[in-house]
Amino acid sequence: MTVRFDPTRALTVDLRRGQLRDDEGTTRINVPYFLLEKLFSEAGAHAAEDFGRALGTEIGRRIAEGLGREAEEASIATWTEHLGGHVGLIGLGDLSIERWGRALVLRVEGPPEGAASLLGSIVTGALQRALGRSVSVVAFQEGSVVALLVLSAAGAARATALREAGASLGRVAEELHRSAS
Amino acid sequence: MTLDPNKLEALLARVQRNASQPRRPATPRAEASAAAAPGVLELDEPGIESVPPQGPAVGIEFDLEDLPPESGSSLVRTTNELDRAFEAPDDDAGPPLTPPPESGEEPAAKLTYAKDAGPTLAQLGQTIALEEPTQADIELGEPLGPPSRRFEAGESLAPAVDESFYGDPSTSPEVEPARSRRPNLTADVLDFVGASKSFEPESFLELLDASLKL
Repeated sequence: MTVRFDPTRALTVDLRRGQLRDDEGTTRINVPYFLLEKLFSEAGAHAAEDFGRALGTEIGRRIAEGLGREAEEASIATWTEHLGGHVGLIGLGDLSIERWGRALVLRVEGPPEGAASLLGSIVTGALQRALGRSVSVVAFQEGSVVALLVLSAAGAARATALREAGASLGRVAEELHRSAS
Repeated sequence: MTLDPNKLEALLARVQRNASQPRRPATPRAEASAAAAPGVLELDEPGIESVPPQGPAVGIEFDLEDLPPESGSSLVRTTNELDRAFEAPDDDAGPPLTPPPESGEEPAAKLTYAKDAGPTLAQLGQTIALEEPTQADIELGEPLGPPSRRFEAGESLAPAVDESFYGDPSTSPEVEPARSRRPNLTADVLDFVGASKSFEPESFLELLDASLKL
């Protein structure tokens, strides 16, 4: 039986104590995103990536614990629900999973502006923790949509070069398939 | 419930007559009782000693565990008493909740309680187990419209995505997008935008591993 994502009491606001906690009792705080983004810019890209990976690792742990032994056999739909649910709970947008041939793409609609790198780091940490896979993410952004192409380090290097040359996501995916065949 | 207009007029006249008269002082027995038990609430005071914290409306669930337990029990006890009173038969020999007027000229209007009209007052304070969510193939919160397109074998698999974002449609039959959207929490919905012709991963991990090999 597929385990559904359950957001019940995912966040509890205790106004009397002035505390915000999650369903595991961990203390949280509610801060404007632009202040977090300012902190990232001052701390540097490496620190920001570490932050995103740590956040993703926490999400991956929750997914692994929620799905249990089903994590590796779970369907794309189940992963869409769980990974998308956790990304939505922290306010980073509506995540869906796309399959471009054999390429995995995570599409996030409505994330905070400038959050593409943070989303990539979170996905990297989450997949590493939940499935034990080292992945690299290449982000494509236009407007309020971010598409994260999930690849190996070598594949990500080729995809990044193609993206920098102006190739669209579809063209990059096609080139990756062509070179892999 | 039918009411006699004559009785209503008589009742209204009695109320107006009593309103013009001075209020009677409290009886010595009531004063003595109040003095002996200073913690006893007067009749006009609310029966609940504490209320939930009044804060701004927040769209997130609040922790109600710290509410004093007597708040809930007081409410339940009150509703139970009222419910028993309402459910008592009309011809019950016991005294009515409200004493009849002192004049005794007019009987109190009888109230009827529809026992089959929904839950009782006591049930309103109880936890009711909801039914299991259905697996209906609908997506809540979206306007009703034509059903999502489902692709059949041999059908053209044009990507239903914004081409300005993804660029030119791929000419490779292997690189066509298939999307799995996160369903609503109360419905099991999948929206497959397209499908690859030769690669059908059975799990997310299989797709991830295939992507890592590119």
